[in-house]
Amino acid sequence: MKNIIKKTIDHAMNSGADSCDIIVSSGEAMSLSAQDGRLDQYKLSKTAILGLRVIKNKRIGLSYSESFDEDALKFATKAAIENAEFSDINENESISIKNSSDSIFNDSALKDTSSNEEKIEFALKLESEIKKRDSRVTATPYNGLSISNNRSFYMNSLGTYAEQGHGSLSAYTSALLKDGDKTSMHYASLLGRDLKHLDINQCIEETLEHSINWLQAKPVPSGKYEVIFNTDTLSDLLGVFSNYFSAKDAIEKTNPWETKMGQSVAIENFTMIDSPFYKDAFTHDYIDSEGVLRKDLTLIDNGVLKSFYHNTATAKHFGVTTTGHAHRGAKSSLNVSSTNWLIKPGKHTDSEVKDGTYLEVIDVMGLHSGGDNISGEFSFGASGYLCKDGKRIQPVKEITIAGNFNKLLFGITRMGADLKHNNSMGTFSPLIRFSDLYVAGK
Amino acid sequence: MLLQKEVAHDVIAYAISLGADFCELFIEKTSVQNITYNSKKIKDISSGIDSGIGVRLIYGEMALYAYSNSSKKEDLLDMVKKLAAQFSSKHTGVMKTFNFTPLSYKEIKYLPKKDVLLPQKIETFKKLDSLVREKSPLISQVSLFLIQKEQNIEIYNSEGLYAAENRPYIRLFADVVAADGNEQASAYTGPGRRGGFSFIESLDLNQIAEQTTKQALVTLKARPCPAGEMPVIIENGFGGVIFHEACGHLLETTSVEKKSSVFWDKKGEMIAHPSVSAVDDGTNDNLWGSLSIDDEGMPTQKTQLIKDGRLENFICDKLGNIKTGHMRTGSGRRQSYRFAPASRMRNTYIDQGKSTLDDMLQSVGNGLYCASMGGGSVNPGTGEFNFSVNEGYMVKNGKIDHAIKGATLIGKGAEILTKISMVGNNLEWTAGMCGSVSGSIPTTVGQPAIKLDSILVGGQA
Repeated sequence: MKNIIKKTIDHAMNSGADSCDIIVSSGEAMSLSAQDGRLDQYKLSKTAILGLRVIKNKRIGLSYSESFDEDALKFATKAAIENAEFSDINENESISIKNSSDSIFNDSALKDTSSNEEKIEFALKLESEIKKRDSRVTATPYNGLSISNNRSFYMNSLGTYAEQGHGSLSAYTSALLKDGDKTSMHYASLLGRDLKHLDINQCIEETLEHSINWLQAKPVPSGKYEVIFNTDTLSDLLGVFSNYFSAKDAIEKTNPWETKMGQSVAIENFTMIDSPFYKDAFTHDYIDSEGVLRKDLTLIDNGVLKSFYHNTATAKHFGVTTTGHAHRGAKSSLNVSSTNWLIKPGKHTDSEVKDGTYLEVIDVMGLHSGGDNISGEFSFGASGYLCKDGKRIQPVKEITIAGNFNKLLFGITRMGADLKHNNSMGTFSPLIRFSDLYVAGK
Repeated sequence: MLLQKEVAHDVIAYAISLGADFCELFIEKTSVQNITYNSKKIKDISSGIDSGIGVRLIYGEMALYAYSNSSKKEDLLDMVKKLAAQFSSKHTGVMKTFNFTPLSYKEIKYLPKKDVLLPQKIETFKKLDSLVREKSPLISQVSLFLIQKEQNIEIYNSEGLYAAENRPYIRLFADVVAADGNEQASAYTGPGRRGGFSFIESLDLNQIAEQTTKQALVTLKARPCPAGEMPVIIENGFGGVIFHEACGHLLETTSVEKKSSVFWDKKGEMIAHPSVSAVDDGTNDNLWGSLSIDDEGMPTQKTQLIKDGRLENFICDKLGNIKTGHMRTGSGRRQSYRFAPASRMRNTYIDQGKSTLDDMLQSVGNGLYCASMGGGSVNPGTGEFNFSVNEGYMVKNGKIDHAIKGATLIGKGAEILTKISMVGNNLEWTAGMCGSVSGSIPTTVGQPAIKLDSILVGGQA
């Protein structure tokens, strides 16, 4: 692959590019689903895609190809150079990273050695156990397993070269329960790099726990509530407003915190860090899409906004150095993105965080359509539990939770001392109690 | 021809010899051009070609699928071999020969493709940007995005079918941000059609500028929405997203075959208010979700889903037909060769009624008027849904009153159909993308204005 990439870069430079870089994403994947005690679907794939970015006379041109034959790559080069001719001048974007040696990282690669038969058996067992444990389960609409082994490559015309392997195996199931005219459903999944380390019982128990409880769920009365999001829903909520940390969005005036650098955006003891190779994270991401070696970045320090995510272009605009958060897919233009999030623990015990009455949110619906990342307003459907002193006293569904992200982090009343992680092991946060969120129910 | 008939023949014959009941090849070559514009500049122009082949084998009710960028015969045979490896020992087949008969079908009409050079496209962007900015000094950003693609597909299968279609698509996205002090609000529109640049030339850019600017400015000054149960009017066009998400997906055989849809056993029964009729139609000329043939090579059709409140048909693909016995409706769709086909919607809408907006406002008295809906999602098992309101107003004493923001509608798909008590006379369609098991595909949603007697509204007041 390295030779093909180098040859395409040479061709682009010989065709008139001032500089260029290439991203290749390649991968193999297998997925299967099981229904009614038998294999229902089985899917295999093997693909690769090459994305070329050229800079000519300070103008950017992009192209991609899924074919790696010489003619296709020459066509892609010609297209990128032609596209550059019609773009406007971009004073900030350049190809400037020159590393002294190749960077090759494999510690996020797949380690699974299980056979296909074992994987099929795992999916079948997920379904049969769910059905066996509760007679009200009418179906497991989503039940299966998928495995992917990907490799990404980066090279630029200054000779910088990097490769990273990423692999994962995930198993998932769901339980649709019916009891009279009441229905409920919950979905849970497991993530790992080796089938033998996946805890099938954990997945089954989580799926059944909430779907059984939610058969009895009802809305709470409308009003203001204190809320604790589980780490999955908190991570999803932060993800909707990730543009608040983007330097590119700040330049394009679509980041509401554009002018807030150095100002207070959260309560005093709230600290949030982007940690590319956090020790417990599932994925360690060592190098960004411009070939920059990553490092930890403090986004919010004790309530004060400290940094946006930068690539070399946004860094030049703001007169800072890149934070190593460049993101570009083979088909897309240069942007920025996060890696793993770490919210630093607070001082309260979990019992103190759970003191009194609050809503525990387990599942949210419509986050992306219900969250407006320009105005900060959000309103989405939620399911969970009404709790008192840490005990679930009523299963809750068919409610909406609404607020404004600009105020949300100022509404934190308590933060726990122990870190929890979300299902994909990319967000690490203590229990956080938010005050004064609006709930619409009965 | 994207794949030689002889290669297709040998691959399919090999699959059948390994005991498969059915084998299908889906060959795709799609050229794409994207132009991104914001801050009054062309940021980047990107182009590329997606190309690959998907192979599907069906054993009984089980579907096996593999795809690759390679069109070499040995790679295709290898894919079939790997797919069948798990199952061929339990099945035996014989080597057969196939005569592929090209499918003749009635082509839907689409707006001419028309070759337009980049400078003319860029000129359109600059004109639209100026039109938006001259509407108000509060406009702080105009972001525009044009996607143009031409999908060429071929399908061969073990029933002797050969079918091909050329599918040009074009869509313009306009995103407008208004700012006043610390307050910001945005609005968005995204017209799209089957066809070429002549569609963009046919658009009234001034009207797009006016509509998006108005929505952003209205939201900027809007008050928080009160929460609670209330009667709601949902305007035409993209308002149809609720029917699409909360009911349409539950009528696809991918849900019906798992019995996860509340409607799986309701064919022939009244599932909606008698004022409601709904259609899923693949044959409308020019529309974004139209297809001459589906991605299994079947000519598309107009499918009456609900007639006067009664469930008439499901949306059914080949596998859905095998598993449920319902008739195929030309609805087997996929994003690309990377996905096996599944039963999916095309242009889905609640059909024209008789009421006027005034009739509805009068009957509501006090409630919510949703002039423009955002997106949403639905839990397919329980039918619970959640949709955001992009532009909304409170209704007081039968009249539209002040603007509100941050409103969400939540409910259950099966219940909502019975709560539609009035259907308007202003049917309109809007382009959208629908994500599901077989990827993200172009679909049209539509409806006239509808009145819901009562629905839970989420808000902050």
